[in-house]
Amino acid sequence: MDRDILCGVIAFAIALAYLTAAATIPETAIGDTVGAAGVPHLLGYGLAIMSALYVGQRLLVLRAGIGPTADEEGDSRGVFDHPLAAFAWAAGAVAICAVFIFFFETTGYFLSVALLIFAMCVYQGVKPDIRLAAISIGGAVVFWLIFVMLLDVHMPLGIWADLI
Amino acid sequence: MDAIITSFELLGTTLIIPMAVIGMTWGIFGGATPGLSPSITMALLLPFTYTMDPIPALVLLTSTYVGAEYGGSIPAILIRTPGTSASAATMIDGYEMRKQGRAGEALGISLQASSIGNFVGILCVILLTAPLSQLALAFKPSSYFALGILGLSVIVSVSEGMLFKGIIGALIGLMIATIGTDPVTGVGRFTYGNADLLTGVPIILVMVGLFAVGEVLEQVANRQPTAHISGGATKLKWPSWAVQLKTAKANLIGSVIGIFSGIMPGAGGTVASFMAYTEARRFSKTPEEFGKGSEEGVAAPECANNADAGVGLIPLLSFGIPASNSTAVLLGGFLIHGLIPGPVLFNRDPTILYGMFSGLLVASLALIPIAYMTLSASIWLVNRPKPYLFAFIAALVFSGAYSINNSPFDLGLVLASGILGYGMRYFGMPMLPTILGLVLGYMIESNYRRSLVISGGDYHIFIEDPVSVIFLSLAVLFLAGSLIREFRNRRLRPQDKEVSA
Amino acid sequence: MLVKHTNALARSLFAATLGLACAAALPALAQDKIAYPHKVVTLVTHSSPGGGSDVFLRDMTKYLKQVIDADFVVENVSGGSGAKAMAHMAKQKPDGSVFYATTPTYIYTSHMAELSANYTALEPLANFFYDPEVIYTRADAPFKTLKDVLDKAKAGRSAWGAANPGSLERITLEQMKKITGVNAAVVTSEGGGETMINVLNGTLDIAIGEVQELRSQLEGKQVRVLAVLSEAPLALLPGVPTAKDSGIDLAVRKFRGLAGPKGLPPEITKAWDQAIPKLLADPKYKADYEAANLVPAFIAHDDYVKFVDHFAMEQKTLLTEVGVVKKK
Repeated sequence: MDRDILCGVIAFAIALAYLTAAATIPETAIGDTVGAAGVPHLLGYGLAIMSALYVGQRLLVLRAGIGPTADEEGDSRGVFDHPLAAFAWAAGAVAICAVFIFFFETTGYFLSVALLIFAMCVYQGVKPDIRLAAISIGGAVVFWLIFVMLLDVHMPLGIWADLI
Repeated sequence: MDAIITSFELLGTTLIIPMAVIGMTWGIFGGATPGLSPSITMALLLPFTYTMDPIPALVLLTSTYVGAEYGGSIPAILIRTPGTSASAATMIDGYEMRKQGRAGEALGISLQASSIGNFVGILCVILLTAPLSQLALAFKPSSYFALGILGLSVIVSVSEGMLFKGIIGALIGLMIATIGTDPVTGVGRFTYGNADLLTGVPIILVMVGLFAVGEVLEQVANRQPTAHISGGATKLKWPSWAVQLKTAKANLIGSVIGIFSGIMPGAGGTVASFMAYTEARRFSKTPEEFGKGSEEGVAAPECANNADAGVGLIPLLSFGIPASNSTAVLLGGFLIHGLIPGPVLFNRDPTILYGMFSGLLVASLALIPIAYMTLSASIWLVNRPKPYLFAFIAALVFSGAYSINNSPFDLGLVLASGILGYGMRYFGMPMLPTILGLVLGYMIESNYRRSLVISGGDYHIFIEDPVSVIFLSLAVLFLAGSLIREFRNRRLRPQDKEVSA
Repeated sequence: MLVKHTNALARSLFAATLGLACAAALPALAQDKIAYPHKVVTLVTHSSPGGGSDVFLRDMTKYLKQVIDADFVVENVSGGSGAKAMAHMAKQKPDGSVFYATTPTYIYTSHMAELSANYTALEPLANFFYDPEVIYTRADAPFKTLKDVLDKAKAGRSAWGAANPGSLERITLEQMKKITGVNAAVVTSEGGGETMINVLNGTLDIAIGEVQELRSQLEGKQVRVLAVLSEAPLALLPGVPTAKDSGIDLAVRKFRGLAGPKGLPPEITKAWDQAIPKLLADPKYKADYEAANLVPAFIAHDDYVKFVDHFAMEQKTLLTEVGVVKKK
């Protein structure tokens, strides 16, 4: 599918989902004439109409054959030359971050940051050796010093809380 | 004249100079740390000011305030992570410049623009506190609504050639802004009993996600061996005369916008910097460079943001009204010492204010040498090999995000915004409209509805308020102008890319 | 949204930074401290470091440790207007080692949103203070009394300001409309700052606020207080009548107390019931809290549980009447 049409279709889906959610906003007596749901409805219908128009316009352009399609235009940076492969690699990075977030409070700040740095480096092709382990731990030490010691942020201790 | 003499005497007798330098350094550091807002950076110092004399204490806090507003631009330019939400506008062109190997130059421009903004802001505070404070009173809810609409009107011109995508992006930004407690009725919207969403989605988290995490994902996913992204010069480069001349207009625009938004409580530095960016583009001789590494695009928002910060002291000093989080912390600093800022303080304790003013001037002078000392190290850091750089950015971004609310939910929010940002890159959607929608959405909606509450649902309120009329007419003019340009371009070059809009 | 956050924090900071005012070093008092089973007691607040309740608590702990034989630490669990602090508290042991500093905000948050843990998961411990609320207008306004404003509202329209949409202040104004039967637009904003500007520029006829939020404007004679919303006139504002004196049966009790997880043991509540009157009588602390415009209002545990319960039900009824809270 043409990339721009896909963009319009996704935006339309977002609009529908948003409108469905906006339907549950409660009405109140102390509100105003617009109401709590007023502006959300406006935005939802606005997005639905705009994205539908966009898809229509793109279809017309494609049929008439004027102008390049979005896919032909490509990406000057070549980042999305192979979109599916790029998505797969990005999904992997998202997964690493998601795992990091999920275990953040259990593992504790220090260890999870060290592991995040290690995992992200390995994922990008750095050899998982002692040197990288040292860099990860060193990085975690620096972050610990900045956020916990200097800025006094209450970072989670995790399972290590009892040991300290 | 007395004021000036008193100020000089104070410089020699009190701890103004060391406090200004310490505050500035601490402020730059705090501002440069994503997640640490200027207000938190200041609040961390509050306990230390308990035992100090009032003048050094206030100088320390105000210098931190000024430094933090500048510091946010450093990570914005170097690693595409806005340190403060106001610096997200600087990032757009600043990061482009870095990608072109002009990081040192971009940092130099932002430093110069910040200094200009600082000076303009502080001068306004010193000279114009009394007269300008009257302006704040002219702003009613209807005026803020119109101001927001004027800000949104630039979406058409910043998404040239892809109007539909720009509008779709803006609507998505506006939608994110509706999450949280409703500004008029107080009911939760899209919150689903989630405690983290009750106060809305923090803008800074979405920005950090859209830009920094989006960038990390794109770079990690890009397996082709790319040319090493070099920050170019490993040193800060003060802008050349030619560049200074080129950015002069942008600095002027930034200063003016910063002054105006600073006086009005409720607009804030983020709105100011984005408006300065879009206005500088509107009036630029080379608007096509914007978004592709324009010097003006770095200077204007940075100047506006710093001028806004300085001028933001006016509502506090003249009315005792803190217009932002940071000035509220500063108010705390005043109150610790039994001082109540407001009309009476000016007459009763002018020495304290002169001391504070001279401290601010010292701080803005100190900004340049302090920045020189710290920035080269920062540039070196971001020139490390790509895999390490992006792994560390991810760790930094998540640490910063967690420190705002100590909530893992916020980390999820940042990651989700990162996925959205990645998707927008894939579809070639411009980021600026989304960010504008996000920044202005709450201001527009809440003031639109407040105005209608006041008028009892009568829309005439928007044309009865002169400030609102001025802003709305400007918005209509700009909108018409950009649309005409858009269609003319399209007719002239029918086979061009513009068709896709 | 940024603006929202900005103003929420600005307001809370604005509201109670005065507590810092006289934070001087304290001489150790040679008095008998009340025995307490825990060495360290954590006081949780939903306000950020430097914010209203945070400053209030940090100031109070200095005096509290002279009365109770324990150390006190303040922990900030900010976010969600108290929702996160309540969830945090619900997980704690009810052994008297951790308390939550409460204001009506936590009741409101419980009513306005569906939460995993709301105020019913907590047990009120005791009350310390009231924050007096007043109704004010700009100094050059044509209104001299509350009645003048109500007359204007009866004749046509009037706009009244309150700081937050889902707050005690807002509902109080809605109540005043109901009691007096006038038509007025209640305009909310996210911070005291914007409300103040709109009062000063005449967009709003009157607004409701805490006395300490108005200190600067009162001193500068920019605003005039029309009525005090408490049972008795305030010593700080001589000559200003209460709303009741003006014939409107309305008083606000914006309480400041502590609450613990449900099931506090009696020896703990007894210790506090003993400690608080002592604390409030400390002349140094008295000077401090009076400067912060707090009115001492000790309510012992047994009464306070009923007080908060009654308050919560009363507010729920009001919120249901105006339709913010759905009937169940």
